Amino acid sequence: MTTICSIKNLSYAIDGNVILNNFSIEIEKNDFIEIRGSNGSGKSTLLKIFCKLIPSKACVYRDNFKEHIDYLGHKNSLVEELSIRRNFELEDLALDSDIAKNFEIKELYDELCANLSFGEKRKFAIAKLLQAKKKIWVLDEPFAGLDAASYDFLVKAFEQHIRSGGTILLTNHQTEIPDTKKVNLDEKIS
Amino acid sequence: MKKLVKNIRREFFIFWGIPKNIYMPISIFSIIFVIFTIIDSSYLLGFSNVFIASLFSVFLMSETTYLDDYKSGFIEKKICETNDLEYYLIGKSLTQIILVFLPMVLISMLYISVNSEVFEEIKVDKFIFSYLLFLITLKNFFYLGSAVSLKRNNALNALVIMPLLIPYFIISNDVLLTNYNWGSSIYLMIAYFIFSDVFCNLITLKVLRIQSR
Repeated sequence: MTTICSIKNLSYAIDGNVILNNFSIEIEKNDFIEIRGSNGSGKSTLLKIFCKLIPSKACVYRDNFKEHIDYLGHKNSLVEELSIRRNFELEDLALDSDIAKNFEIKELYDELCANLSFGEKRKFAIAKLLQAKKKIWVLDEPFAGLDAASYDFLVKAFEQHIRSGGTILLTNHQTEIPDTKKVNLDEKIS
Repeated sequence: MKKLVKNIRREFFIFWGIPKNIYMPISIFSIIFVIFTIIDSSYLLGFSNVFIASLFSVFLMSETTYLDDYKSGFIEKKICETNDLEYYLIGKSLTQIILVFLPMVLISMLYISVNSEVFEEIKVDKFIFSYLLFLITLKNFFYLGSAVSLKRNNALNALVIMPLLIPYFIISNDVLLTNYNWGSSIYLMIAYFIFSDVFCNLITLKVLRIQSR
């Protein structure tokens, strides 16, 4: 196994409030890591530290991995005043028919982004992620706002990504995903 | 180079896709111009209308420069995925220079040609050069203010940058307003432009990274 990132004794506080305390983890290639924990336990912060959005000396990176990352935060990074089609065109993408069918979003492709619900926007943001073909997926609550059918499709897409040699690091509040390395931040802090 | 082209392409697409990005600053600029023309103050105020209209337009334009991308999570995504935030800034700047500033220069030239009796000493090439320098320098400072005020979402916070612009107003006043003096003032103007282009953009990059955490 090739280590992508090694985090040792990471401590992080915001305004004196300790979020992460002596946290350590090895993230290896082809890992599927599910970070769980209550609100404010530091799940999103950990992802931001991994992506170097928050610099930390506790993280040692083995490789220049940044160009392989596809990051999906709480926000969907879609331009609200453009149609979804234009949003895809901004990144030289066109909506894949198979993904559109599974997410049931084909009819919404020409809609203005601002007119869509949170769940619909989330589906398009995930569709962009699935089509970008990057190796490392860093996802902050990817299931938020998704219906049961979309949840199942997304779990299958994750499994497919792992089978094809990809790496996934995600935070999750909802039903546990089978066959993942689970990290519970509530246990780590206590 | 590929990253730069990709960023410029994205900004052009967004500007064309959301026309208010272009017509809002240009219409504000034009309205102020029209007001000055109607009251026929060119003999009294000289070139002040260009100065005031530019200041208002660039200030209002800067208000939402990074706000939309910040709110949508695009800046956060960009920092997490790549190390090319500087290309994003260059792409934004180039798009605005071409789609907003150049039309503003054309409107100003039109104004000069209509009032040729008042501005007979003005040379077009020198005017375009100094006026573009003026606009880009204003943009650099106000965009820094816009990045600083990103989380507070209050355009007036951008005004904290104003004290840095006071010496620049004095210099540009010499070049653009007072008899079109091209002596040492233009060199000071160029020096201020270089300073703003390096200093402001560098600080803006740092500020955007901090604001996105």
